[in-house]
Amino acid sequence: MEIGLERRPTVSRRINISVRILAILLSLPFIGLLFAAYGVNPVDAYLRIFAGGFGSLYGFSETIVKTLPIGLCAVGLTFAYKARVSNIGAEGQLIMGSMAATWVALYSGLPQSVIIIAMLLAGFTVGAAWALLPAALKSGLNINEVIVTLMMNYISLKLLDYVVTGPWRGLTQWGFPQTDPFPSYARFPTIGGTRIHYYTLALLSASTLILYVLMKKTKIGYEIRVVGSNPEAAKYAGISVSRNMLLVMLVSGGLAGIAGVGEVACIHGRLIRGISPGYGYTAIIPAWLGGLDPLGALVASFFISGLMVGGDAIQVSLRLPSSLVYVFNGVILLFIISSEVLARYRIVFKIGGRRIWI
Amino acid sequence: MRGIVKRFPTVVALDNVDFRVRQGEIHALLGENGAGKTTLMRILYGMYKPDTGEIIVEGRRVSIGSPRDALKMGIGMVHQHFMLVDKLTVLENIALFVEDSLRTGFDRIRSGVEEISKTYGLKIDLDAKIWQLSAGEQQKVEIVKTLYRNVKLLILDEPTSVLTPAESEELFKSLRRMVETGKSIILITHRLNEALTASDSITVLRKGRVVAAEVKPREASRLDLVNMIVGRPLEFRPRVGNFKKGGKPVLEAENLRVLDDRGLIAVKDVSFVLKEGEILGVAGVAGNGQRELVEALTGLRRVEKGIVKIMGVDVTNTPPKNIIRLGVAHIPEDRFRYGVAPDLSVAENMVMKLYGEKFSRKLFMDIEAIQRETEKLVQEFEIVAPGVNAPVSLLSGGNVQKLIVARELSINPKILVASNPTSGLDVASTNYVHWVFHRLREAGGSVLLVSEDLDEVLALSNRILVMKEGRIVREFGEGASISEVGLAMTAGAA
Repeated sequence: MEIGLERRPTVSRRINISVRILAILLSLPFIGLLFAAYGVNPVDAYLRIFAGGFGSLYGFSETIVKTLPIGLCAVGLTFAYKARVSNIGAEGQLIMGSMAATWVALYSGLPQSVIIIAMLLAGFTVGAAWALLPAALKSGLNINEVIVTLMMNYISLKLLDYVVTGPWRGLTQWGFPQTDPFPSYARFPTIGGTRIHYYTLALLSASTLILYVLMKKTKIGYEIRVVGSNPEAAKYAGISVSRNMLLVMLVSGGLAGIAGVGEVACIHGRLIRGISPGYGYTAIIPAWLGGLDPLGALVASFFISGLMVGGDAIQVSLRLPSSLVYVFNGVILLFIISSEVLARYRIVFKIGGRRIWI
Repeated sequence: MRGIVKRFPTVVALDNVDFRVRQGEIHALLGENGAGKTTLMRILYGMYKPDTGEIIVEGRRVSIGSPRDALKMGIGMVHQHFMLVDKLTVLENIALFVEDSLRTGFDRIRSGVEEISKTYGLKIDLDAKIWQLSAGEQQKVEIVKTLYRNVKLLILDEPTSVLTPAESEELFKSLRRMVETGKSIILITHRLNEALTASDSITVLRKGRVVAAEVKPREASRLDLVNMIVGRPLEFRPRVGNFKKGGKPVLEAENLRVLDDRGLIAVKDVSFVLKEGEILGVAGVAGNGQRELVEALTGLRRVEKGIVKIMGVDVTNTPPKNIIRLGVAHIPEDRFRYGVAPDLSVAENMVMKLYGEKFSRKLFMDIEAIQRETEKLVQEFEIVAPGVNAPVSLLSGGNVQKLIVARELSINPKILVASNPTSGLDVASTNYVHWVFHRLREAGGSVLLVSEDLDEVLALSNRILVMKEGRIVREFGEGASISEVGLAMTAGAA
């Protein structure tokens, strides 16, 4: 018998999805070894993770709460990655967005009626600006955007530390590194009994749909896909590579900024040190997992969020270290990335004269 | 090779092919794009496995699982795209190809290589870096590299497509010496003259079947070969069309200076005028500034000095978009670098030039119109693709070239800047492209035809410029001979 790889004549959506599901299933036994090493029955652990993330109303709503920031970042990132701009800076863009919204909420002195709109606008603008800088450096001077966006994450993190321990430290916070709580008119309303803030939910849904249509059906999306597939060909076809780079970074950074607004305006109600537990980094996973498709990224964000919530649950109930959840996510990502080849190639078995492929 | 069958997911590439090469002969393998020549040779070189059939080397049935096996059996191949490391020297590249080169040592490799160079007349500077070499010299490195592995059968895939006439002649002399020492050579080519003058035997493939085996060149005419390859006579005889001398200038270059990727001057003080209804040929050995000139004219490369005018408008250093809008189409030299976005579909690539005008309504792409146009062009240019929605990365090189030519002509250009437009195309497609160029000229369009294929330039051009070392060194009118032009390309300014 011989085994070989052969290019698939066409790559259908069905193959793409089934390959990814297969990758997730295959990764489970490997993570199972880790659980077993901690003396926990893997099947029990999976069931608890699943029940924790999706099984109860509370778990489900908490999953959505995490889907909001992760989804906003991930959907924006698909846009950037599609144009082959490797934005690793959603984390920093999210933090800057949250800081911008905090300034509007506490220090701008704007009238109460416009404050929420102003917070969202400020979050989008500052997040976008934070992303435009590396985009400009890349398109103008060909400086690698991976390094710049990554470094700018640390800058924003330190800026956040500075404001919450220095000028913006809350007078009523007994010295904790956080601002005063936002006034009620600067907070996002939630769906009764949960922490789901529906302004952000609406923005996430709308931006996912808009980006989906934009990418598939419009001239802008077409240009971005040409740029991503072959920048030299884009130039040749009269498409401006730098304009498209700036555009995708603007959208990607802006959406990450909005994610930051949601965190301060609802979940915490103030700006705190460590406002994001790495949402901007986590979002890279669903962006790829969803096949760089905004709808796919949204679904994948929901899935990853569920794992995180479920992971929190088993931390408590099975007393496992929290880092295990990150290992869990990492292993799944590794499997999905490796499975990419199976979406484009099929495995051919030759037994005697017969060919069987999957 | 006997009874070879190879199926690919959508097609049968080789259908029961028998192919025989005798020791001590140059055997030409002819056929259209997709006829199966390359597939057959890749099977022989161990890159593909045949579904059925057997390979017999010197009377013994063998199984060749990889190029490594092939080399051990004395079969070597020089590919169309060279497999050399740019930043290493010639000797280092050869050493990379030698098994156990560390133990052999550079000195022994050097003396071995020098001996081979002397025997076959393949002179190369062993200490030059690959990037410093011309395409012809790189090819010598590839040949020497395989000879050093002591091959008995050498497969050359379109070796002359990158060579000047003089270099080609030199190559054939070396090949002749090789067969005199008992080696055998398989020559894949699209050029019929080469098959007729340089080979001892010819096999023709059509659509995966052998249509003529071991034909002796003196028993066949050029026309016979065309009929075998294409299966029908060609419609168009390339000719220099009627050109009204008084045509107004459509493309003007004045004292152009352009740099190459390394920042060295590649185009020096070049001036010329392309007139309405004219095909202006630019001949020259590859790497003498043609690529940089074409890129400067189409807005892809900065013009350091001088002026480019199109339809009387100064377009020096304006974005490509403006130049496209003035009706300039461009068939680029390197089809994969500029010509296509490989992840996008055939249809999406087909409208890369007109997506903003003809194929969109406001913000949205007109997907139906795109599909219709693509289907029409795929049929007209006989592009072989799994479908209009299949990604271009699944197409063969020849079909990618057809796609680009089809797209560029579909925009109804006033000016067509074409670099090696038929490189890698088979006889029938080349003929079709030449006919389309001719038709474009008859309709008052103009073509700047930059090509390394002198036959092509001579057959179509109203005037011919010869480029050497970044300058235009000669201009010929109609009726120039191939030897005159060839001499000007290599001998320098007249």
